[in-house]
Amino acid sequence: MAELHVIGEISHARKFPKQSLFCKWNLQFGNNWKLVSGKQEGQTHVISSEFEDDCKWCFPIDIHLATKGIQGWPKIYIQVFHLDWLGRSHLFGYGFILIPTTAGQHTVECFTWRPFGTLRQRFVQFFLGGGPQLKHPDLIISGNDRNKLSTEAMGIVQFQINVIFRNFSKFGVEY
Amino acid sequence: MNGRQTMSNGTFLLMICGQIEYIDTFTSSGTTWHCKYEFVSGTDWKIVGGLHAGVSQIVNIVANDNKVILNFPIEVVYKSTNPHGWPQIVISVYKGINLQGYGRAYMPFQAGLHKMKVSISTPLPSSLLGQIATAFGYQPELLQPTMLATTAGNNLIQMVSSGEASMLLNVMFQGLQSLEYDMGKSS
Repeated sequence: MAELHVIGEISHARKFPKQSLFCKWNLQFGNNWKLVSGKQEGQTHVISSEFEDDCKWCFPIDIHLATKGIQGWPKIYIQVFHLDWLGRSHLFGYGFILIPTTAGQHTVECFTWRPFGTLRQRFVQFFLGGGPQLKHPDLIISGNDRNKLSTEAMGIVQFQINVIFRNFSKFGVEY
Repeated sequence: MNGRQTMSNGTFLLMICGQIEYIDTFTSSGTTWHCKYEFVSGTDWKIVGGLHAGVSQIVNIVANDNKVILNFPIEVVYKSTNPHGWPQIVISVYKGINLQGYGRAYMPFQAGLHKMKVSISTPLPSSLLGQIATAFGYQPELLQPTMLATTAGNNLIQMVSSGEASMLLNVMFQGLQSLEYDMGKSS
């Protein structure tokens, strides 16, 4: 089986309306793939910055996958939350990225969005926070029911990803 | 084996040598700074040469543009069978005896010279008592700063970023290509 290592970090978030952000990530892949070692999901610490806009998590990701085919190339979906001073977390963005399909170091940016509520919901959100959320976060990576959503743009999450291939050329995979 | 020299038992070597050049943060003259580093790596990784942790000299700030110049050498050689658990460096920065922040970074994945910026961040107190105590100069520290690299339980901590460390690292491999690994290029 060909092996794929995804090692890198969720480096920072920028252009979000508030600080004190944390990010949950989750790796999804097709049936041919198998997780050999490493964590498939995780959550960063909460970070803020006094002097700049960026929230620098520098959160490590280290995944080792084995595959029998190239269908179902792995994706990572993320959920960004804001932790307020009362210890409540508010959804600040959904997004997904594809693991790059060439070996080497990559900077991947994830443009995030969140559901856009009705006028009443937005009024409540402005004063109290909260807001509509997806019931099944797996929907972030499926394009099926997106036409039923209305969304607004949130910030950008930047990843530094290193992709390491093993035995791909031995199995005739061209990249 | 197509002319390439292989290591005997499916292992490869990773040689890292370089330095922590300086820390970019708010410094005032008359303060003293030092920093510690520690490497964290997976179970397959073994150090075959060099130091796995170290403490720098004490830097006295006289006048130097918000930089703590360390010029602190790092040299380590790792042996492994598998890129999983790739070594990470965890840096702790101290001002006097008080913590100023932690930084974490992966070692470079491609051979060659790499100039790296590592963001430094400081933990915030998690209890009300700690929040009151910060007014009197208390600064919470992590019992094991390596938890930033292993990510065990770090969803419970809150941090605020407080600077940047600059590192210059040279990386070299031995026997990695003969194990059919393709590391690609750095962008």
